[in-house]
Amino acid sequence: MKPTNILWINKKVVSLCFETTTGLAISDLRKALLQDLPSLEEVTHSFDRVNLLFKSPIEEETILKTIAQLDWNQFKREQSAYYWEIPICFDEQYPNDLVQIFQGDQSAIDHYRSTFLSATYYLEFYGFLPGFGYLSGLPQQCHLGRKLTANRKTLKGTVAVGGEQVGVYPQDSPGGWQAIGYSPLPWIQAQQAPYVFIHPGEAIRFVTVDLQECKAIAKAIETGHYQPKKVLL
Amino acid sequence: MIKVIEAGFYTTIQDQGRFGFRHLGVPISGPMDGQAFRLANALLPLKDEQTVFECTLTGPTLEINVPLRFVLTGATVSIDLDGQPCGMNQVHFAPKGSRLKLGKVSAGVRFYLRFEAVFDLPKYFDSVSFYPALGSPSRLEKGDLLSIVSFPNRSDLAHAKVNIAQAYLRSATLDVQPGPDWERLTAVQQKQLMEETHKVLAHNRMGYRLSSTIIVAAPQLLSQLILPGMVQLTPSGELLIATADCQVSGGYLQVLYLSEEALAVLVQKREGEQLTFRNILPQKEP
Repeated sequence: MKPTNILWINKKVVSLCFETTTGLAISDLRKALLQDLPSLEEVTHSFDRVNLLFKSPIEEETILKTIAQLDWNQFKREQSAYYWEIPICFDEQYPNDLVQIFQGDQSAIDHYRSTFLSATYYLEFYGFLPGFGYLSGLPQQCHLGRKLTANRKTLKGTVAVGGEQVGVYPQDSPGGWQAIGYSPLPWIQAQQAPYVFIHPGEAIRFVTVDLQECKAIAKAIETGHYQPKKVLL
Repeated sequence: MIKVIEAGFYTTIQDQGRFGFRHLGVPISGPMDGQAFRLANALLPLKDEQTVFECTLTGPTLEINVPLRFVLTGATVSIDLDGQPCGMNQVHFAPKGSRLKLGKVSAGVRFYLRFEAVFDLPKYFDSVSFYPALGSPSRLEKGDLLSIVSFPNRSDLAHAKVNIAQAYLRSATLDVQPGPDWERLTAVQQKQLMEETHKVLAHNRMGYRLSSTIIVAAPQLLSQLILPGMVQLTPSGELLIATADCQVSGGYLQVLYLSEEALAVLVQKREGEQLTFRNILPQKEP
């Protein structure tokens, strides 16, 4: 899993290019890089790049040397031993673009949902909004094209599909993805660590809850009595 | 304690910003004009405490209930302390109970008010910078009360006025370097981008939207890291220049990258103003 190319973005940012970062043990790589490069401040990644953001202007040689000396074989992502259970509610009070996509054909919608629920997803990385995780693993028959014009407002908690990706909107936001359900679970909280509970590379499964259960979970979250469920695979 | 009598057009509180959380999708925020922010902090330094008020176009009126030194940097604005006019880039002293009224800008857009005080403000990801998606207010409101934890209680004005040129406020040229997707433009498009004049269409703390006439057939790009100063070309031919509150990732062509100085020039521009790019890199060998 060695980088295939290096992009010198500016005097404080370098991007390492890969065929794909899926399969890279990103948390381990981040730790190793932060340890080896003391002036490194942040490590972020996308589907095909790992970005190194430094506090002070970078020294090209030190970076090249560090990259050359790392044992890249140790950064293979291991199969997740567990998955996070994410509640999803299909109650009609929540926005649902499947109605329009399948022109109201309920059996097609039901089939879409059961296929969607049968899959295991993986958190690739956070981006777009604080706590918006890009999830991979959507079965091909569930891929949905993005909206031609973005919504002015996609509601917080909307579970949405954009092409082959899945995400849960952490806040109200304009958005171009198709709404398929609602999840009451916040993925990020701003005031103290740990800020997130799901980390890149971890597995996720969606589990249906009815409106009553959904509201109960939301209430438990509000009063601080909800723990996201972790299930052994 | 400081009381907000009038909030101004759009006033936020900013410190250096939140670094170390972009891998969670959290933007860095912090000041739009980093140069003016650093000057304000250099004139009134306090250990580990860089909080400023970032004001936009029209400033707030504040009642100051402890004796505090303060300074204003960035866009040129009229400053009235209990009826006395004060200058930019210069340390002033507000006695207890005074009223500070900041007017309209006469040049530029954003100015920075720094008090020599430690405020009692909630932190989100280690920063007090306003960013409503994290739970902070979006801006100061009339009637807000800002508690002060400590202040050095100094009234001396030993600092001379900094003879900083406000000239950058009048500059209309942005120094740039090629962005990661520069090579995806044809030579003609590259030339066009550098020679055209671009008009500011809209702006907020996330970014500036500028006009251009360059249309690139949109390739399906993967989302990549966005940094403040990154110039992105959208399929409709508009330029989006990322600023302090920009998203951490996005999928448009990243054609240019602004220098720090250019970013300060940009964020002092308002709708309708014209800008051109200037390449700071030596011309490539043919």
